[in-house]
Amino acid sequence: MPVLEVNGLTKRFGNKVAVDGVSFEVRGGEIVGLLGPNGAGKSTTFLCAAGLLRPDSGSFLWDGIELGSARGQTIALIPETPDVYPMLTVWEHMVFVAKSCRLKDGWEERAKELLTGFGMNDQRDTLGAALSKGMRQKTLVAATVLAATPVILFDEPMIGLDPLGQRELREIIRNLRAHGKAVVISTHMLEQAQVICDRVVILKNGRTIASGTFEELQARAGTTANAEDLFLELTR
Amino acid sequence: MIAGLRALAYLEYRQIVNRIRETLHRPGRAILYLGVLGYFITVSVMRTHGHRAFPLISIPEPYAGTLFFAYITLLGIMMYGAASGIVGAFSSASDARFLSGSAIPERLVALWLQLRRSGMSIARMLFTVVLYALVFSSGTSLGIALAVIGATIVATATAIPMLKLRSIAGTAAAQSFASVIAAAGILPMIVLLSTLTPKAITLPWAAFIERLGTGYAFNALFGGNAVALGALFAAAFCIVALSYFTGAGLYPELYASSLRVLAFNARQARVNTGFSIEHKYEHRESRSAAAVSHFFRGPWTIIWKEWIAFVRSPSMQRVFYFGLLMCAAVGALFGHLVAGSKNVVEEALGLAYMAGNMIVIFVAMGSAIGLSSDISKPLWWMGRDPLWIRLAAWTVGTSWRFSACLGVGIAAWALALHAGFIAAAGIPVAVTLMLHLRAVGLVIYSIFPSTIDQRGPLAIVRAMLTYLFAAPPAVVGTLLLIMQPSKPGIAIVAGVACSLVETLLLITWAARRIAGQGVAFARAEAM
Repeated sequence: MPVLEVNGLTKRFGNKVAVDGVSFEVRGGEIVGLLGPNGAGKSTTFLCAAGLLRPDSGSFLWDGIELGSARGQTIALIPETPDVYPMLTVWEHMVFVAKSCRLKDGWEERAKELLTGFGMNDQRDTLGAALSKGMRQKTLVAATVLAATPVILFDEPMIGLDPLGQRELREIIRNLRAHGKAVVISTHMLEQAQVICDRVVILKNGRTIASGTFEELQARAGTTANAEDLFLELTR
Repeated sequence: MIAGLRALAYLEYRQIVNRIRETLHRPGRAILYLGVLGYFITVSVMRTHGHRAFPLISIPEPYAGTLFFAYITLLGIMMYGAASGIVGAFSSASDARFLSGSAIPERLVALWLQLRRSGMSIARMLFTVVLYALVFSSGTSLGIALAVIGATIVATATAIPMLKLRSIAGTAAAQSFASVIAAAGILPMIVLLSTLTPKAITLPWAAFIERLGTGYAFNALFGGNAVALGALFAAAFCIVALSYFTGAGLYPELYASSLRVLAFNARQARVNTGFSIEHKYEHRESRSAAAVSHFFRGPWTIIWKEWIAFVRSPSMQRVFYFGLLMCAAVGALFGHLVAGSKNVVEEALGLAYMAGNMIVIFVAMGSAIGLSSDISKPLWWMGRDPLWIRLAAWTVGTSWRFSACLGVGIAAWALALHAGFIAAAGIPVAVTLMLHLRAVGLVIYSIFPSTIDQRGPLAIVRAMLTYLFAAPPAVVGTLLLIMQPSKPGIAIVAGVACSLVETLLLITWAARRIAGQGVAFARAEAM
């Protein structure tokens, strides 16, 4: 499976170092949680990875090949506020992605399958402006999957979703893993992270302070504490 | 490349079609849009047949040259904005993510974003262009329209090359370059304007600058000279093409700059001055704010809230002081022009009429009423005072800066003419006019709260309603002046009082429609 490697990522805003030499990797078919308190540098890391923020230093490699400024084609970001085009319908989003990513014939069938799978057939002709947050998130994920983007970053995906929406999104993310996507999730919901993530990377003040599976982190900390206690212990 | 263009064309086409569908979905909106369209068509047809059209008179030096260099200054200011990272390229954060994640070449996306920006600016200018058709004959208005469109493209197209310069050479270097362009406009302007002063203080080089032919170029452009317009559009094409060649590797800068503008626009919906300058707020202790807080109680606390926002925003203050300075300069210039003319009264009335029209039209077009950040908050509704008083306070609190600028302009005019009565009569009328414009805006907001509608065809409706509601005070004032020609003060006081009563009635009417529907209006504002 190909690997996304983030090496020595550093980003400063004036005198403030938001991300300080962060390195981690994510394999295809793996879900990695990016955890950390507010201001730890998670969103900055994501924006840099998606090519929407210019890092001061660091590199991004996918399958051993360095990604340039157009790495948005390889790494898709689903932000905390999942904006879509307000004046495009759900289906028109699919058409635009197909056209702009030069998808081959047969994409319509895949798009229909995706919308059916995400339970969005009824919203097919609904404008983006009229979609709920959950539906907008699903539209973005469907568009990303349709574009065959191999790496998907979710920034605080569960915030604002009702319990059913959270469960549906968890299933979608697991399906993405099953289809070989490399998924990174930043979240404050530690129990969710424990349930869904294969590994976690913990950031504090822009630096990586721990990484591994929850069991490995527990072992390293010499505790059997739950995710929340472990997180508080590590980020204290 | 072709596939990318087709994808981008599809994106824009579908958004436009869906927006039109949404707009026409509401019958009231559809009637409004069709009515305004019908009005424009009627006017254009009338002008085509030369009905009551004014021929454009060639603007003499030094004014023509000054206007040319004023445009260069504006160009420099816009370039400075881009050099400071204020460019609204992506229409939203989703626009940035979809386009940056697509297989469309980055240069092509940058070019497209540039064309879209220019197109949006031109679309906004179209209303202005139609207004030219109201004044000038069809041939002349076509020349003016093309000149305005070409100048708009040149001004907006500098954004992406400036962002590139910023990313390569740094912010300071890009800002310095833009400052040089602005200075290249300001300095000749000062020199040319100095020729209006007594010879003793006329700066040298004025004759040399006039010989450069910039005034001739300005008149040729606005007169519809094909060669001049061709040169302008060739320059526009070259600068737009530069966006393509400099557009690679700019996604981070375009994204960051777009977010700044989007955040500003979100605030703009509340501040609604219509001028694209980002205001940053700093916490500052202020004696004046404390004094104002003691003075204003109850619903009038809203004025204090607006004052605090002004005190804590250095950029807002800069814009205000710049406005004061410009109005003073324009007022002094008008005064100087009138003083030098043979028929002072006729010239003064003509200029006042033109200035009044410009103010009504451009304030109506450049600003939209936005209350969402106030009326969507429970805090706004906590007071026990009626909504109309709070809206009246809001009207005063948000229009005083315009009023002050206008007042200073009139005072400068009066000073240049050594005619105190102009200030005594003009300042109260100007202040009332600004309140009146705001109140008419509130009425329109209470019917069509959408910002898009207000900045679109409703701007014309607002200007027309302002004229309509200005009729009663004007009639009252004129009648009293005829009855008592020796006491013009009474006529002015009566006219102003009549206008204020009308303003309050308009606010009360708007308040009745908005009352109890704060959240609904706040949502409708964004639609």
